[in-house]
Amino acid sequence: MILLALQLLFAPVAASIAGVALWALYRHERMEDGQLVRTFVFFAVMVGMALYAAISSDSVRRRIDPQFRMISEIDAHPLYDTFQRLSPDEAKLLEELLTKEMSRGATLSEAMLRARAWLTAAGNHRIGFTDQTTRLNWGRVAVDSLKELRSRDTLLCQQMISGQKVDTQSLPQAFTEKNTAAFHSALIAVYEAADKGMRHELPREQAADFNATALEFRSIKAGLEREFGADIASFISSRERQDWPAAEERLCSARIAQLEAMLTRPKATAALLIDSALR
Amino acid sequence: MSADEQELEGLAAHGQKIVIRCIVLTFILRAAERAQALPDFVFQGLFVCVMIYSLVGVVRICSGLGESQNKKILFMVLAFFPLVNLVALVYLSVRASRMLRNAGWTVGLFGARP
Repeated sequence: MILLALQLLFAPVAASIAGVALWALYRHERMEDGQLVRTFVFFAVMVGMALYAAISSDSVRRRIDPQFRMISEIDAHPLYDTFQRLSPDEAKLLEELLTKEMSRGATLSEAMLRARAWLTAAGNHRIGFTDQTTRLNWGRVAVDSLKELRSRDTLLCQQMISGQKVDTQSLPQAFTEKNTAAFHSALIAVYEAADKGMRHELPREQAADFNATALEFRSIKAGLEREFGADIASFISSRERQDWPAAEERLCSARIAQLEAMLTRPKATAALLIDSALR
Repeated sequence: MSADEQELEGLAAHGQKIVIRCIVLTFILRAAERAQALPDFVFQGLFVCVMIYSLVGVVRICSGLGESQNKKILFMVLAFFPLVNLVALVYLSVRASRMLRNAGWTVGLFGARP
């Protein structure tokens, strides 16, 4: 708005400053007409150029143009930078999400937190291409995040697990700064590793035995049935989840227990289990 | 009538012609701009040319009317404000017409002649 006003008033402002300068410098002289016009045009052009240089500079634009300030802040964020390098289409979507929230008055950190469900889904979508260490790290961050959600808001935790529409306005209060930093760092690692994975640049790792992993999956499910009931165990273990009818702490705790149990298995098995549970 | 007075009237008459041309040119340019007849940068360039041309007219009328240096500068600055510039140009043109009529000039739609 301010930038638009400045653009519209650019010539008048330059002329006004030039007029004041002309008056200050030549107030005791009576100039010939031609000289007066030439001097005025000279000052107006000089002031115009100086104004143009000033309002085109990043530091001034950040002060007067909220849109530019938002874009600059977003560009400087390491997570957005990673998206832009490795997945420009998703970076565009993320930028839209963030600018939408920031234009409503949210800070970049709040906007990032409100985009958490979307970012989580983006990370889950890519873990299949990553190495085992990155997958396990992503799994640990998922567990920590769910624990924080459970301690603050059971309904939000359930929404994150079941893929229901998440109340994004409540998300900024749901996570600690430490968790947010760990989440961003894990997500950056997922994107970096997935990019290498897609280009077949990751070192070869010992693959998990598929049948043994399936047995482990069933054994974890059996444990969940004993502790939380068959309905919750099937809901958690199924990929095609329908909406869970009520907000229950049981659901949240069951998911955390499932992921924690998976993380205790040998590295290769745990990585495959986490991949199947989160993706 | 002294030579000085004749020179002042000549200045006012010439300035008024320039000012009237600038008013007409501004209307034409605004209409063409709305019709998007030419690229934006061409219009910006043409508007700057008209502004500078109107400066010459403003200064000549002010000199002809015997205005002070400060008033000249004020009207020059006003020539850069959209809409205000038209008001200022019309005001100066009306004052020049009154002065020239009193001096026996014939003032028409597009300026005055002795």
